[in-house]
Amino acid sequence: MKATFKQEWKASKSRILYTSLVIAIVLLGAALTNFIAFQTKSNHVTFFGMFMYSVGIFCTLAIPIYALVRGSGNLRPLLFSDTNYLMLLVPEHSYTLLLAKQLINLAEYLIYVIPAAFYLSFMGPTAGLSMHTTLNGILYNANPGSTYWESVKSIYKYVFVDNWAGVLQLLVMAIIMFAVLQAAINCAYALYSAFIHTKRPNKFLILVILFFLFYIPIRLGFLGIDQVKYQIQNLNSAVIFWNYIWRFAVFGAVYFFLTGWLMENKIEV
Amino acid sequence: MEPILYVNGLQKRYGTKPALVNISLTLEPGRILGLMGPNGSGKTTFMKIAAGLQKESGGTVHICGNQVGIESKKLVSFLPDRNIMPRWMTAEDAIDYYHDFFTDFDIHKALEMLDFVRLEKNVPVSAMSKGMVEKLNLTLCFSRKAKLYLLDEPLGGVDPVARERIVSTIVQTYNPESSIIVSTHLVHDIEHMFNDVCFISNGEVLLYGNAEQLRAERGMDIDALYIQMFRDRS
Repeated sequence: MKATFKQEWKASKSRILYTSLVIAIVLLGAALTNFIAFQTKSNHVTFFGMFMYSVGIFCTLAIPIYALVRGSGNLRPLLFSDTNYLMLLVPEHSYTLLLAKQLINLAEYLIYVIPAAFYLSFMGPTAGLSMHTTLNGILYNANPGSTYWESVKSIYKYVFVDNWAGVLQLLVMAIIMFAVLQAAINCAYALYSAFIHTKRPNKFLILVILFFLFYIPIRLGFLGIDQVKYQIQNLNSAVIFWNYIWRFAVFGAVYFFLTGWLMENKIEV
Repeated sequence: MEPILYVNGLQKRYGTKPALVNISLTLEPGRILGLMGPNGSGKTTFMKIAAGLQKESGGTVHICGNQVGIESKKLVSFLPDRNIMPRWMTAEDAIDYYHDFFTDFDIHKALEMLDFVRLEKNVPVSAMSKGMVEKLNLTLCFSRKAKLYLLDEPLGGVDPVARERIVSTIVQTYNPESSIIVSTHLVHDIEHMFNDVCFISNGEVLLYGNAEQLRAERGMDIDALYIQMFRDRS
């Protein structure tokens, strides 16, 4: 297990470093631009700031997708490349290899997301800038009447003091859902590789498999979800989501073990 | 003594197409077996099944008494006929990888072999020529103290000088406790080191026996015998 971790990390570290640098440059750039716009109330900079704000939000939303598609947890290069089957020659159980891959991928996701959340916290007070031009110079920020730094402070107070239990639970839920997504994507690749296998993967068929892998847990996972909106009062109310998250977690575990079994018994390279 | 490799009634089908048909052979320690046949005859499939990369459709394969799986992978050193290294790895990274996963990997021997084959440690696989990848694969394969070495077309696509080095590496690696299977259709270059030969065509064994006995019985060397057997089939 230790060797698998080490080698997975070696294989991923330069991609993680470069991607982290890009995220830092984009988000810190967006935060700085918006900070200048906020302080100077310049329409010109504000327009650019609005653009950077959108880029920053997009960047944050794209991180989990990027980590999943390009991340080390993805089995695609192992199963569909003519080369790269080195990993299948080593005397390790497929479950160990898969677990190490997915844990490093999860670490990759956190390495992207936690700093991104930190950078975004500096954009929070300037969120009202998007309305700046339409409201004729009247600035809206997260905390009307407070300074930029007071607003930043209030964001951290809201997250880490007033709602820490809810935030912690949401973080754990995000991790679980990320792991479920990983397991489902790898399971789709493994099912395709085991039963259809073509030299070049048919993306459409893999997407169809993925759809079915998600369809059942989504149907089961969200049974009764329409009642949730009436119960949420604040972030600490997140506890009610557990009822749905564990259903996804069960399916994630089933997909993980199915993938491992397929790797050991069905998949050939 | 327990055989290194015991194969009984091995079958492999790709869909309905048979790739291996009822292959049976036993390899004792200290033997070098030449697995010969034209392209598409089933040599690589056989190697991959023994290495644990493919599953048999029927029959049994045992390596030192173990069914093919985690335990057998500890005993088998496989030299593939292509690059299987991630392109970002350097020769040094590849050595580190093998050192981490195979307890029988001799890192000092690997570094010596890199010098011997004149391969730079810091060159990434993406910048290596086919011959350089071949040398790296060979270094990794033979730096293990494995029981069974599976060499899939080790001479394919390399120049005569490199070929000579590969042959001498194989001979140096020989030890009475392990066995080597070499698949090739370049028979002439390496026939002198085979103890046993197995001719395979369309997944079936055409001829299997002691190389010396076959030379004496047929009055020709293995290369000539190979040409005679496969001339009418191609």
